[in-house]
Amino acid sequence: MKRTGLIIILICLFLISGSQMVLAIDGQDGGVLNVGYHIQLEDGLDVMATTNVRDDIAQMVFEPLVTYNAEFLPTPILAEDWSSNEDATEWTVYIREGVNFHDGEELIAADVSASFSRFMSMGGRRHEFELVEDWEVIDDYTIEFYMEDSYATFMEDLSMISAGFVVMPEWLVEELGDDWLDIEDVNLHVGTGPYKLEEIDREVEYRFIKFEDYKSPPGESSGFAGERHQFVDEIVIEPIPEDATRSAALFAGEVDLTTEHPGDDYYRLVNEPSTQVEPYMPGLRVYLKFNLMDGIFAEDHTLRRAVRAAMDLEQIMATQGPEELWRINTVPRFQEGQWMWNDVTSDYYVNDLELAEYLVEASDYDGETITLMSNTDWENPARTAPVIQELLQDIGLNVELRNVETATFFDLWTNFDEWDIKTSAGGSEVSVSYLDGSSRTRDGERWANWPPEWDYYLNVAQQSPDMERRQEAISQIYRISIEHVGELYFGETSLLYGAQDNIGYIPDWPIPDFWNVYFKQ
Amino acid sequence: MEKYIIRRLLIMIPTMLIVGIFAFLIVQLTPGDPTAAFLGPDAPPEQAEELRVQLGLDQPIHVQFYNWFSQVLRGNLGTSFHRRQPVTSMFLRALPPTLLLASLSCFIAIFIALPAGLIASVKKNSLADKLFSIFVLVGLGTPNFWLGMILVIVFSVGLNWLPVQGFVLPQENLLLSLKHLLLPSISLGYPAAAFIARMTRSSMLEVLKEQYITTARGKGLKERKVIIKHAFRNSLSEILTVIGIVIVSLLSGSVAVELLFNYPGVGRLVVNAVFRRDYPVIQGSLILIAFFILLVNLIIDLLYGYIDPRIRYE
Repeated sequence: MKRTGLIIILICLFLISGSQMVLAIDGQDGGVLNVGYHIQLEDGLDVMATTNVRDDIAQMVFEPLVTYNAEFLPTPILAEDWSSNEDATEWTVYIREGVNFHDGEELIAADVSASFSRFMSMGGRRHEFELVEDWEVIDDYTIEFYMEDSYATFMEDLSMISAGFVVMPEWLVEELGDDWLDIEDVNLHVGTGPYKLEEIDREVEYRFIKFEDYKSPPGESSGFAGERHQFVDEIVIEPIPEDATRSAALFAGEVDLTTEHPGDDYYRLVNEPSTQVEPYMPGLRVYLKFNLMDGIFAEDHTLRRAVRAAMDLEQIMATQGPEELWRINTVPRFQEGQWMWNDVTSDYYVNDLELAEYLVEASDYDGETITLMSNTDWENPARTAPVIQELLQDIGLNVELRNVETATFFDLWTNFDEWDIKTSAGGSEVSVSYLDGSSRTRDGERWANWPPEWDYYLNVAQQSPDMERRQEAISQIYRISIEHVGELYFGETSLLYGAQDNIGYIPDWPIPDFWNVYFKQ
Repeated sequence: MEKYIIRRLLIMIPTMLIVGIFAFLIVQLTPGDPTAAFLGPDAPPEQAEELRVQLGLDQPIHVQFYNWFSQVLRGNLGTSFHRRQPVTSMFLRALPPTLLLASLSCFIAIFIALPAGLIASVKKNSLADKLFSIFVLVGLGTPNFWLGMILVIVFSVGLNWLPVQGFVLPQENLLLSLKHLLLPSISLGYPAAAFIARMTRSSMLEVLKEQYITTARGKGLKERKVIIKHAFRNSLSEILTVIGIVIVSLLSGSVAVELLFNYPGVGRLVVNAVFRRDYPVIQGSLILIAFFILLVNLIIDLLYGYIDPRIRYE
């Protein structure tokens, strides 16, 4: 009896401990918009802290001085206007008057100055602003930036929406010091944006409510710029990382909008009468990178040219799903219509297997195994890998496919004896200075034998106030890139957003900015 | 018996520490740089180095081990690289959903398995037994995540009766909480039920062949009493072993089902930590999972003594 009692007590204790923990874990206008989001938000929305926070959510709370419109042109958000001297060494930014933070205080130049200091000490893109020497508050609504040298693309770089520069109150900058903002610090998420972070349960949902005192930037909504409407009263972001679950939640009506579906979901979303689907272009740029530090491709330019000659862009991009979801674009990073876009690279992709075989013969290749590395968690580039492997095997190269997951992929990235070529992907909305990444390893080292004139043209493209000179320099950069064959760009693949049929959104970009989403009547 | 329990509880401490040492070594041997997983591929190298110093990853492995293990011995499982929160509190937040899911799955499994196994053994080779065989075969052959997807398509998307995903605390809304729990519990419970039921049937068939069952029947006892009191009770120790295995597997995290149903439990916590190379979370969670497994084993061992008086604890 005594033993029975003890066992019962033990079982009860076990069950009670569970239940106690359940109790203790309390860690068109209007409506609530439920968004099934494709990733878990791990970091605070101050964007500058890391590179992995999403701009579409961050800008609901923290806004930039300027951002890109649909034509990728810098457009004011918290800035009213800006000007520069002739050689682009001094920039003056005029701040919009009457803009309030969520705590009721008015935004002034001192807040911009403090936020920029923080950005320059810990922002993910701070290295792109190395030309900025100093900045000074002129009055409450004017701030001046002084450059070491001409910096013509300063406002473009400030417009970058991923991990870019955003403004927070001076007191918050002081309070945070060197710390990053934690997503659970709801009360510290004080920005000027159209929605306030109200409540979070990190594992379940992030609730944003309309900021009643919001002063929207003027102008027609375009890209991330223009009027921010605040149609709905509340926006609830539910992280649903599993693709199939996110689709099911949309079909079941649990969420109104879903982000970033895989291409395979396209027809399923199209064929479901109660949902609509929009491919968001530009999405991801898919490319192939050569190991230029070690191994067979490092010294053998002829072999790299053989690989380029073998590439069949249509076949490679067809791996990205239905043809509505991708387009061929061989230009590193940029979009047709942007000043930095031109077509010098496409002629080099001849898809001529005879030529490719001839170049293999002419190269130093002797049947060695070539390792093609691919990241299985990165679906878009991973899908291209087997096709690239087959194309290269067709010209007599012995290619072995090495699939690894993200952490290992990043680790091997700088182990140059572990891979020869790798498939990868990157964003399509990048600044000119980002091109420098093509010439460097992840450790910041210059790839071996990289043409030295690259730096010269990059500086001209970034710094020259003369637009024609900048465009010519960009053209030369693309020529160097494709002739040197350090990386091969194939095209862009769109991101898929799904929505219930009763959801409408502006502006003309297919990607819905959450502040511009509404319920149709 | 008290001594036995105290001894078992004391043995748990070194066992958990050994688990911790192995967890540390396995994590260190795994390729993948936590700073790269944290900052992304485009982070400047000086930023990655800064973070490496902050996280103590610039230290030699034996120093890292000493720093971590000395904290573990003081009861501090460390702080998550990624979330910068104590591992213990992260685990304790993930544990209640897992306990709830495991409890309901277990309840469903036992509720189905014991009667099904009993009937199949008593009505051997009958239609009921054949249906039972199909039930078991399907249950054992169906991956739980696949079953979960089918259930979602039918009950959530098709009929709109139950939610697709998520979790609600019982104290917030009991009915909604149960609705969220039902599909993942069935996904986990059905294969577990098939496993337990098969063991119940085979164990019962063994016992039913024993002479004391024939004796009991010869004494004129009612068949129900023979089956329940004499046969079933004597087969319980084997069934209990299987139930123990099921509980342990459910507690250690049903990763696929938790991911599918977007369920914030222990399985998802550990898997996300592995993908992000969040070493303290992986190591700490493994130690705590080991604790719960050892606790369940202790309870099961004590229950053996309850159902079989021949077992003595000394």
